[in-house]
Amino acid sequence: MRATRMTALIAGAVAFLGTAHAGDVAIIVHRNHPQSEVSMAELGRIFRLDQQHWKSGDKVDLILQVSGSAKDELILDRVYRMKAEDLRPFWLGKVFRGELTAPPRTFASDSSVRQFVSQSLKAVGYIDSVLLDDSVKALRIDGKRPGEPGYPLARAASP
Amino acid sequence: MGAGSGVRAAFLIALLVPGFAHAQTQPEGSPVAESSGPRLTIRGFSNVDYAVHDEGRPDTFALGQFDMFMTSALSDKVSVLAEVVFEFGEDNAAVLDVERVQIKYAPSDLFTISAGRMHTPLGFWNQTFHHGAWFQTTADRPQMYLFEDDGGILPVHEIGVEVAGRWSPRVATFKYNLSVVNGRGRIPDEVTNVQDLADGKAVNVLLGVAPESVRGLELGVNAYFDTIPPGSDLFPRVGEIKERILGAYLVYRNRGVEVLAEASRVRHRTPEVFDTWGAYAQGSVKRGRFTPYYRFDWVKVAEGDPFLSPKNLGLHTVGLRVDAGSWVALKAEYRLARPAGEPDVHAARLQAAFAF
Repeated sequence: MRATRMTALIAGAVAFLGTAHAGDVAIIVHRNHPQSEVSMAELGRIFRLDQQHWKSGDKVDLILQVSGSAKDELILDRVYRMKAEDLRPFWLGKVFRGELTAPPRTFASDSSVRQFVSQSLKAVGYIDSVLLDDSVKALRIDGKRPGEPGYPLARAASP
Repeated sequence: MGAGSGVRAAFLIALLVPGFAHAQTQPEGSPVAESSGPRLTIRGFSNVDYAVHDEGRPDTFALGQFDMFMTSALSDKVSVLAEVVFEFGEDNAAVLDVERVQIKYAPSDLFTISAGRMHTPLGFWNQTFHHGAWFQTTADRPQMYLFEDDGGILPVHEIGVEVAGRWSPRVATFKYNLSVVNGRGRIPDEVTNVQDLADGKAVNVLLGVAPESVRGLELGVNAYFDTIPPGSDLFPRVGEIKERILGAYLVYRNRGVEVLAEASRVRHRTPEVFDTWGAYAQGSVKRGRFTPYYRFDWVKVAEGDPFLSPKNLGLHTVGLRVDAGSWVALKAEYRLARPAGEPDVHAARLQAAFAF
């Protein structure tokens, strides 16, 4: 029974990875997170921390990256619609206005983001979709999963 | 993406978040964090200026406000913010002001409640920039938002309770603020920090909307109601004043383009009616490190207003902001002030504004 379940999990992961395009950016949450989908507009609000609570009422714990990869640029361009140098005063401004007590935490790699998100029901972060596994859940964005045509955070997608 | 842009991306992203070098890698609520108490984050802002013929006075170097800004999260839902400012008056003497102290309970996006001394949600500028010249594109605040002790017409600080929230359906984000606070003192500079002069409280309401279809656009209105107490021997004035302030703002900030426009009408009824107006419009475009800007200010205090000092002024400001470093902005601006019935005043200001 246990072996069957493990086999199914591995098969599912392999099947999923097979559909993901390298370079697509996956928005990940805990695998038991009640939310499975966001709109691009909601994703923008969450990543800007204009929306600081999940629909469940839990506080959003936003995790950013400083890996310097193309996916970071993609997040900046399509989610924040800012340049990196403008994001800095953006966070400090939110702290200054009392909307936050500190800017979001930053991790250095996809694996550290995935590990943290896999242990927190409040956390949300982003990783390269080829690194998805069953420890986290990739949110559908506007109904699309990473790798599907029209996925808003695909490398080839237009903003 | 080529190798060069990858390196550039690495450099840019490394600048993503203030204090990234000290990125927190421990999970929230770890035993170490709990045993050492709440984490206190301190930031500082200040500026050094050189003013040429400002308001007709001799040219001078001038220290700006030295702003110490502190925040601490006491829990997921409770946080504290404090702001202490050292500033210098025209007599060159230093003054210490506790500008903000507030505790906030935020159980949801729809509802937060704060208590303490806060920035009155009168429109856009007052809550967005306020202290800290580094935040704002221009060297100085708009005339309508001058501080109470600097000839300002608006109650830019409030002491009391503020409820706020935002709601984001698909089409737009709607936000509100409702404040119940101590009223104004007998003069604009008398902020009632520890003792209101009347049982009745001032009330301010702000409503704003940011449509999803035009990213960066926000519109809003506010209304402020107060009863200003009668004067005293020191500030002679007979009878109280009913104050009603109505304001509106339009803001567009997106991809380096900034357009700000606000207007307020301050009505004082004794029962004679005195209408004072303040407004400004500002535009700038950021290209790389350079941000040229222009602003027009206008303030007209009602003739004979029993509370506000006389002022009837149009002010043109044109300048350039250069972000010389991550936390340093250099600004150079020229101003043309046109006070009614008086000669024009030409002035200039250089400013180094910084955060640390």
